[in-house]
Amino acid sequence: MNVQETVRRETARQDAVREDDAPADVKSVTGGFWDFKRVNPMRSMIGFGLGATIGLGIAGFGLFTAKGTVTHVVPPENVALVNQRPILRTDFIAQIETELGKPFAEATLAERLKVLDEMLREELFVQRGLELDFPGTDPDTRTALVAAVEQQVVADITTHQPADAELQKYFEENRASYATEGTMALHNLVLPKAKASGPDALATVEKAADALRAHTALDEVVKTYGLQEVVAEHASDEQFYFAQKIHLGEGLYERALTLNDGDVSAPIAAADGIHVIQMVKQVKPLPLTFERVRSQVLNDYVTAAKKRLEDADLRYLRDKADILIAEDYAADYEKHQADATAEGTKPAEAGKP
Amino acid sequence: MAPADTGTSSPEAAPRSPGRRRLRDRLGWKVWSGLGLAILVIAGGTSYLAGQAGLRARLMRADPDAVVQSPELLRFAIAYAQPAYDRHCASCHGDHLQGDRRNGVPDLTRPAWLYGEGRVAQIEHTILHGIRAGDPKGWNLADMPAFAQAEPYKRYKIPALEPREIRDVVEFMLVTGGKAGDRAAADRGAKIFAAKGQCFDCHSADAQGDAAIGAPNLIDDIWLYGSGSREDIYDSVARGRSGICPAWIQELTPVTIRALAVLVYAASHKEPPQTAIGSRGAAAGTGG
Repeated sequence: MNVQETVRRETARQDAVREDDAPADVKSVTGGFWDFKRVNPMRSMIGFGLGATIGLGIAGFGLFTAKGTVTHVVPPENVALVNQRPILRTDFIAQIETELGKPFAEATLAERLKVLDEMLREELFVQRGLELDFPGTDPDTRTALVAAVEQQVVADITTHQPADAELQKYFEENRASYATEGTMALHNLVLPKAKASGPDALATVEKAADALRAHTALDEVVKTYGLQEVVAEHASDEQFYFAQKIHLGEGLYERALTLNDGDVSAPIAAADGIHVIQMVKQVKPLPLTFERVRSQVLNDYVTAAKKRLEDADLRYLRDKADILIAEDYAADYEKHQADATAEGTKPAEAGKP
Repeated sequence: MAPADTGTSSPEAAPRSPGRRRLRDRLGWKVWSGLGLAILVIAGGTSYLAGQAGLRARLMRADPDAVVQSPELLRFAIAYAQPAYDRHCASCHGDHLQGDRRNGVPDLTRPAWLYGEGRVAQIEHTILHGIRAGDPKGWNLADMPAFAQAEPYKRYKIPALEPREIRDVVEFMLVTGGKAGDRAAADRGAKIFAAKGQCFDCHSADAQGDAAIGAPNLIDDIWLYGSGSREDIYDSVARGRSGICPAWIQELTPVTIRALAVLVYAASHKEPPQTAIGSRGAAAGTGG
């Protein structure tokens, strides 16, 4: 008898049983509850229900008592686990070297165990501190958290080395930032306010300026026209632009910038009197080549990228957060934020570091 | 329908048919060979992976400074670190760890260290937490001020220097480093170094630097930026420097970082370390 014939006969037999509808035959096919040689629907249903109940029970227990992945083996990179939180070996080594002031290899076992115990103690207190929400209230912890999140946000930037083309592009876009520092050496003479109030004061300073243009010695001009030379404390002749700006003040500095070597300015009225400036030598800022400022471009590029990423992250956090401002500040704060956003999206600002 | 057939003939009996039996007999040796081969491959692979895991564990549990005394661990660490170096470090430090003085990236093949003395543990710490990378545990104690700016230093107040003073300091560094320079200007520069510029505070009074804060030795003729020319030194003093090394703790596994530290150590030291490592350290180095 081949397989097909066997299947055909069995099917025919089952059809016949169904057709006869005889309770005795059915009983012989299904069998009793404890007759495991035959199928019993009741037993099947009870078994299914029991299995489902046990499965749900295990799942529920796991769900409501879950502690994450628990391990009882300390991974090799850690020196200990405290409530499953690792203490890194590298931190352990660094702590030993810092505390003992000698290489790890020279620390005795007793010293190592002492440091390990201290680190365990610290970890326990840190975990307790987290439970008590100290990070939310302690200023130092909050500052450290902010720094840590900022670092995490910009981690991709610091670990990504920009291509030369990117740096070159950034350099071209911010060329003005990459130049030598301008310097000025000048004489700043003033007719003091006490003498500058008379009607002839302006004419006197004009005459002094003419004398300087005629190459009259400075000392002689000072003496003849009653002027004083303003010399900043500790300042020598040549100063960087920023230093001259501090010494001269905004108005005089702007006028000085327009003077070439040997030029003498027209009289300039200021709060402390009437000034005249003689430019001895001005070295204007010269653009630097990319190669010379390459490292600075790299730093600026990374700083700018970090800033953009931090801003984007902050925007995301703001959008996600539910921030409510008190009524007395709400309107002003909204305006302030709108101004800040408009300022930040200005095209000229976008590329600045 | 004969009841005797019930239970004696069923579809489950099909595999025992002569056709299938013949097929199984014919394929038998091939199946067993394939199964045997698969078991061999799995056993071999498992054994290899277990061996690698064992070496990784030994590398991590060893005293880092003693790892280089175990040839087996040293070989393993270098091989393990090389792909990570190529992927993450070579873009800055170069394919052969030679650095890039255009960007202030140090040459790691020379035993000259800005931070620490170049022990494996110290190198590992730098790779983990970086330099000026924002990691609180990283090296971030000092920058080179930009003395030609109104506020040379962001951390605390230092007076800016005048152009002539910067030139004098440059001459001082050239002359102190044994190069030709203007001696009168160098004398003036020495005074600025020791007073107004507060250079001694980081670089120490003898200009030999301070590895505790990453202040370079100024007289050993090893240069991080440029080649030590008058122009290069002027740029450093006038515009400042503050290079960055990323903190890799978030990106790489601890064992990769340890292996990288060993790789860097091996590249910069032709001889095994001559530190006072006792028997305990040596034992740890071989996996104890």
